[in-house]
Amino acid sequence: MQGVDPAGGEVGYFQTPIRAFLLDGSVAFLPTGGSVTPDSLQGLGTRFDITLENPRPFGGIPTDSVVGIEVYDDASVDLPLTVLAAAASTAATIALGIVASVAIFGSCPTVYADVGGEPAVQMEAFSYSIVPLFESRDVAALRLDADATSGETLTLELRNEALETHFVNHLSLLVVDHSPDLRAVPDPTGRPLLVGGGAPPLAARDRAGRDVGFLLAARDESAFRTARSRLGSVTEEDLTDHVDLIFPRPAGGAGDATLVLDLKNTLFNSLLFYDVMLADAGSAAIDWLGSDLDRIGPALELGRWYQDRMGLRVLVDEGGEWIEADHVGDVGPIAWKELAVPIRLPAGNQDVKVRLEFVADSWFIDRAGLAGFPVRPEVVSVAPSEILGPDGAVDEQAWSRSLHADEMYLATYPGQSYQVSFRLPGEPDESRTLLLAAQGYYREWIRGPWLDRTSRARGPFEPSDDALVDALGRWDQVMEAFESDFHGTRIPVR
Amino acid sequence: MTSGNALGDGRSLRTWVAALLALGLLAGSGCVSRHGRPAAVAVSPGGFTADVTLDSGWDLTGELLSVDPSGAYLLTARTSVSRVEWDEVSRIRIPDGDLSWRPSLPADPAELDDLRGYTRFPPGLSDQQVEALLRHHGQSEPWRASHGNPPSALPDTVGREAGAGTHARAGYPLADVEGLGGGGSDLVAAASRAAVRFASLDEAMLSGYRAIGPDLPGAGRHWVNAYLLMRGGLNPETPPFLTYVETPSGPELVGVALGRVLLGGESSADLPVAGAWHQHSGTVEEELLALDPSPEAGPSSHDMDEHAPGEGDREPRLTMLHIWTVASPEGPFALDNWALPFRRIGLPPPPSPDAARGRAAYLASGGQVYYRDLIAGLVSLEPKEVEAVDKALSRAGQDVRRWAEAVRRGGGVPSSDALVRLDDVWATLWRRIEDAVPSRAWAVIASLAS
Repeated sequence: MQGVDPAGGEVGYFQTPIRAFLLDGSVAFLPTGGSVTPDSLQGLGTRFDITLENPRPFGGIPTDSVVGIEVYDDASVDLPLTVLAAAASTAATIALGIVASVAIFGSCPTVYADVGGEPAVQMEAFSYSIVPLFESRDVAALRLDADATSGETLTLELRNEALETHFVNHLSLLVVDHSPDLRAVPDPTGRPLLVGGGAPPLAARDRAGRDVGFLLAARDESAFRTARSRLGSVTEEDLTDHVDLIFPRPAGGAGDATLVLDLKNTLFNSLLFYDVMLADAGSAAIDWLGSDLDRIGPALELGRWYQDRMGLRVLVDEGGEWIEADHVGDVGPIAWKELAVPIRLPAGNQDVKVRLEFVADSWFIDRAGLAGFPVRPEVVSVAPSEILGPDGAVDEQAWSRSLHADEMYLATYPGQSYQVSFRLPGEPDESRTLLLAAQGYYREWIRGPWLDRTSRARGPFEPSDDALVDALGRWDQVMEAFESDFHGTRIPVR
Repeated sequence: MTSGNALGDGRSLRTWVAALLALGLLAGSGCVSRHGRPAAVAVSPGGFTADVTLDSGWDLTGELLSVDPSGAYLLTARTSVSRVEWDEVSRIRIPDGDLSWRPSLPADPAELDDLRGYTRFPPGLSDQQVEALLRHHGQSEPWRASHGNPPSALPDTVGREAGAGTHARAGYPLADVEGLGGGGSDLVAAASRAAVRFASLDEAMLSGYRAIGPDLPGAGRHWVNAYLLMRGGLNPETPPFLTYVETPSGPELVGVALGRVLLGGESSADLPVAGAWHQHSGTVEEELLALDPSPEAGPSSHDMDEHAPGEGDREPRLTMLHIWTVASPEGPFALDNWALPFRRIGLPPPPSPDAARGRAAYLASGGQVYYRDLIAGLVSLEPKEVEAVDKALSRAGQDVRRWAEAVRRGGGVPSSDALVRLDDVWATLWRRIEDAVPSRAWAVIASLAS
């Protein structure tokens, strides 16, 4: 909602309860919403100092002193946790200083494991689950040292390295034992499948005509991405890029096969979310995130649009016609994800032609292989045995909140880190894959500088192809700087 | 259909199928599986869904009824009882059984044994049984490829056109929901197969479902798979929603639900089982208040679908169809299943469990918390009024639990006298609540008592 303030500037009003984290380390609670003018954030509420003491009425602040605005609802955060989290976040704000105001690293909790003595990122959980209605369950196969999978305990580190509030509902380790030539990999729904390594493509060519087979042959982080020329030529009617793959027909030659992919999103998706969906809306993004998307209709409208446009379509050539075999949802830009996509082989004995189709420059694809018949393995679910909180002490509350998929959430704030341990079942006879299942959602913080766009904002984001073309155009202009800034603005954990 | 026909009566059919199933379990126990997997056995009265590709290029999707050395019988939405010969089949695929098979000629007996485990009638069908099936489905003979092109199916897609050169299974696929065209019985059969697969809540979680909203007295607790919902949500064998209730022996799957996201101007008019779909568009909390419908219980967004675009159809919304896979007094597609509150406490439902009795019975399981939260969501009360409401709910909960125990001691089936006592508990609860709250609040919540 917008109006005109007495001084003649545009005013954006919002009704969602917020907490505003400020550059001086203080935090303001505005439980009934407020307003944003070109220069300031106003509202009825209370401001606490850096020690969360000395509460005083909130008298308004310049927008350029806002680090981030967190929308919240009483249903998902109870008061003691809120107060504790606010304190922790306040401390984080001090450490961040001015850098935090432009932090763009996100979009989800990151999970690390000790690999060769160093923390290695394993997974980014429930990417793009930006509101409670989008709460989702992500499953990722972990890439661990061999002895880590057969030990007695596995400890993973769950980090919040972004200006976001993460709500973790459920954590579970999935244990799959199998023969050494196989590996358990989740399908697009998160269900583990047992697959072999898969044959690399005989040929791979992208829409720009480039031979990209060498990029897709092995998991080596030398990955395909859209040609710059293709990105520069997208239109509202033609947003996509594709890669055509030709695989040898798997042994047996009939029935189903499994396309094995190693991939992650480019930061285009992050720009689309931050710059177009949130920043362009100015203060309207507060109610959009905090209220509008709590309604089933608008949330599903956005979800359907996103599903229809984004992600990656897997198509199989059946008699000269491309038939959609499956659709892979976005996985996030931080951790590589291994996915197994069952496909139905076309009749005949010829090679198998597969097309991967997606919005231009929205994916890095590191490997594509075609393996044989997918098999559903027996899966043992293991609950966390212990969780250590940010202070290194056993955190019973965090443990109990992540134990079941229920109404209880572990809320984590920027800079926090949790050590989550799982007791592994007895050693496998042959080989073992461990997968982490994580369910939850997160709330992106509205950055202070984004509020500056309120006066020229046209309201909350409305899904459209026009918006996608606009975002792709901006991406073409800023991708180098965006990619450079992204990892540099990762919030350090304590 | 005459009463003497074994297939004419649902109960007789189930008994007959169960007997054959028992034989089938024995027959299937010695099967050798291909692909290195254990032998599959149909563990529900229905056979597995099979995708059959014929050499002619036609695809049939339907329940695999039986196999024999020369071919197979299927039950599909488009062609009803159908017969395919192995020499005209290029491939059979059973997605839920992880099986894909290309018949050799003559068919390999060991492979046929394997395939029998996926059928509704593993011992095979006699000629008399085939005739009975045909009569049941109003056919004089099975459909065969030689009869020509199957009747048209539903359109392949709605919504956005797929890209150039891309066959339009993308976006909102209907091609894989052939069962929708055949009306209610096919939907229920397919939903029942999903119910077998997801009987365990662990299996549901492993397959990507997550709970949404609380347990509701007549509708249970919904678990959603957002991926399947956004993929189209209309295949009853891979439903976007599962419904569980908590029973004395743990969570029990009681139904599935189909769902589709409708944007402005779109309607559910072309969906099957007209009139049974309902819509959601508010917040989850608003919808849950409206799920236990009363005029004052929140916005009327949880409406039964009018099946035509109207004023209310301009907003994006979710349209849903419940398919109960356990006994439902008002049929398998009813919005609410008022037998559920009795099932939760391990009692058989009375012959006609109405909403009031169902709500009353719910007090013995999760009802106290549910009604307390419902009242708190509708009206603002003083602390002492809240305390009085809690006390009334607590007493009523104890009374219903005692009532249930007495019913169990009396044989487990609520008699008409017992039902009158249940009615009394319910009426007494609301008299106490009426006494405990101001008249302005009672005016809002009084309809909950009905």
